[in-house]
Amino acid sequence: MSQLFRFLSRYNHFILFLLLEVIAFTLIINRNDYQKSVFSRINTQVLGSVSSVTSSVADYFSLKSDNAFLAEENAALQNELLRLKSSKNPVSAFAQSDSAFAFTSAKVVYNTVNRFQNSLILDKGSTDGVRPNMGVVTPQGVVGIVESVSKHFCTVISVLNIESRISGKVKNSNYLGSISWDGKNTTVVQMEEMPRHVEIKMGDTIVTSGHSAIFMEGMMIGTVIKAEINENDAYYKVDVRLANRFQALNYVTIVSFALRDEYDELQKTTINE
Amino acid sequence: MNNVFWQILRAVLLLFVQIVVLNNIQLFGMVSPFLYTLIIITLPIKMPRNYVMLLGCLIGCVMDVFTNSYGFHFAATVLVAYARPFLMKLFATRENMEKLYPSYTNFGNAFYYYAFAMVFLHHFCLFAIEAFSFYYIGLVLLKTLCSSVFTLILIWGIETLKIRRK
Repeated sequence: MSQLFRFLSRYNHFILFLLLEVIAFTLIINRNDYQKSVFSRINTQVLGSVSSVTSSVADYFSLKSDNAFLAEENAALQNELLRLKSSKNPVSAFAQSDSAFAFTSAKVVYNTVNRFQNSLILDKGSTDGVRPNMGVVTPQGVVGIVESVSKHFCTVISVLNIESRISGKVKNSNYLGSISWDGKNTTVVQMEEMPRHVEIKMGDTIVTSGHSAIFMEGMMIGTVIKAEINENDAYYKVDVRLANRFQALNYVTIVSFALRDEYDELQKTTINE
Repeated sequence: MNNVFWQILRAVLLLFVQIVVLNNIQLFGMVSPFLYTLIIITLPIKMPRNYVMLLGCLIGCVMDVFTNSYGFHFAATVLVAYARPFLMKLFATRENMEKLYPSYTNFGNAFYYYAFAMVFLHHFCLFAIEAFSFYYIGLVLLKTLCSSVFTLILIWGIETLKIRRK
């Protein structure tokens, strides 16, 4: 307290000066129209820039929830888009049964790329309607297929798994092949069963065929970077660079096919016969 | 006591001249002298700083009333009242500071330097508040310089008259 008084008495001139100037400027700003307008303009500007800085900092804290929200919204919009497409063009909807596909967004909680049998774990499970053999994609391309499902999580067999088989096709020529991985390069997969007579060259786009009823038709897998054939071979050796970066997966979309049971049933009876 | 009376009379006279005559002077839109700053300039050297500031506040208020502005002269005069000791120390010698009043006879040429610094500061503050924007800073400085020089000429005239009378 005594220090405060010492401080006050030491700087009493300056304090009086400040007091008087504050009074003066209060008068200036409040009573003169021109000065008032200038002050309010500057005030708005300063306030605006300060609040824009603070909000840009605060935005970072909500990035995570924003991301989740955007992923959800993306899935919802994709559903909506499909619904609209099928309602606009009933013939194609019937043919491709696109409307039978629904989308759920999920976050990757576990992901490996450095094994022969790579897999992912997503934060959606049976309570969210996820079931085995559903496809997993991102807007960039195919990720894998759901293998097993618990209540709140599911494991996904990644494309980067030597056991994985996905049906793909060359986008323009529609020739079918089977996508698998040789376990070597995590950015490149192989396409098998491409017969000799097919014309395939570097830069061709490989998409899903839609025949397995796991993925919709035409989802991006990757682009051809190598297509070789020896004189005695019946099939090409095709290397495909994956469109997805598997090391950096964060949010994915689970594709569910509503007519799955019916499809499986039918397939089973055909095989049994 | 006599001295204080003369001081007050002089202050009132200067304010009167300022309000009646000098406030109406506007040469080339550049020169508008504010001679009343001389009241603050020539207050006794030993006068407590807070009194000088309060007096400055009073004089500023009077000027504001008669120029129909709010706070312009108030702010400028309080500022020079506060800055007075700094500027005085800057130009006057220790010997000069022992004297009763700042004046040409007491300070010599240092008085004009000191007076000019005070006048310049006062005028700058006044014109800057009037413009209230950095956009006009060049014009404000030019106006300040012209008006300060004119005010200093008036101060020089008054000081010369004082010496002649003696």
